[in-house]
Amino acid sequence: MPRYFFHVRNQQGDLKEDPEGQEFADLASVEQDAMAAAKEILAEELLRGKSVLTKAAFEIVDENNALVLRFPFSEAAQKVGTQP
Amino acid sequence: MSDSVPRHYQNQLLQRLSAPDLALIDPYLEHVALPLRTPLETANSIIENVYFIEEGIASIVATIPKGGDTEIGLIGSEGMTGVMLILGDDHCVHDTYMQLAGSGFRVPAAALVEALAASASLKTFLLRYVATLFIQTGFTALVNARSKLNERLARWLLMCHDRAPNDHFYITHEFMAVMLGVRRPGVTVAIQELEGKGLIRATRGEIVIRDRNGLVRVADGTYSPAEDEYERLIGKMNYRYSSQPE
Repeated sequence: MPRYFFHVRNQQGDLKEDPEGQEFADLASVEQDAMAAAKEILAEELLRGKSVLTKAAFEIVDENNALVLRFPFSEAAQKVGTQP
Repeated sequence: MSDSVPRHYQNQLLQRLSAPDLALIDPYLEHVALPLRTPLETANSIIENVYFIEEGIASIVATIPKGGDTEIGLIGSEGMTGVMLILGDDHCVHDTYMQLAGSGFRVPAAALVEALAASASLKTFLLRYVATLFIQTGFTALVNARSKLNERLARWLLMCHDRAPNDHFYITHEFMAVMLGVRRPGVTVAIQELEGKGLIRATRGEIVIRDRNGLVRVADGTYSPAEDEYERLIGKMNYRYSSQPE
């Protein structure tokens, strides 16, 4: 299975790289996991009394470092999707 | 063992057994390598062997049938598997497997049960270890309900550091996600936060502990109550934990 890396573009515009990545069967499962993971990260921030990081985004790249999906956290805040 | 030279144990329970109690199980102890993911106990089955950990870390993991695991106990050289045998049962309900490779002494369950029946002092001593594990699991329940991911991660890294051979240990974010019961990208974000504060350094598959006291502060009181109880019930810990204020 191909490996995808979930880099995070934070509110300040800095890219935080995912050093490890994770294997997925296809791009649809990557997107599902991005939705669930973003919801979880947003929830964790809210529970710590912070504001919602809607300006942050996953920039998901494949093993060749090609961007395959940009997933703004605002989508996870606004849309129904996979449960964390 | 046929030789009369006493073996040296890194396991802190074996180290502390009285000579007569150790003699009851020593003939059955077999040193075994414990690679990553070695199953030590399998959920809902009879316990066949007990492991006294010499090096490395084992995790007791509970699973939701529809999918989803979380760690409920951590065992290193301060402990052992097979606690249900000490409590009078022969079954285990959770999985226990190695999350950091190491080694241990394996003893057949039947031999341990026989030794427990023969010696009240052995039983009392090992029950005290069971108590420490019960206390540890209690604090894990507390943090899972009340603490934030960054606090839980800091506590968990300290517990691993206590049981690791040095300041850096090999563990993937994917594994940490299972242990902490969250998705992997969330762990990566939490790790980067601790890294940003200079408390750890993280590369692919490796964690380096840089500032233990800083991690203790992030853990916000959730690390050390269980460790203090180990010291009270079993004795001074052999690893990095110190009950002295730093």
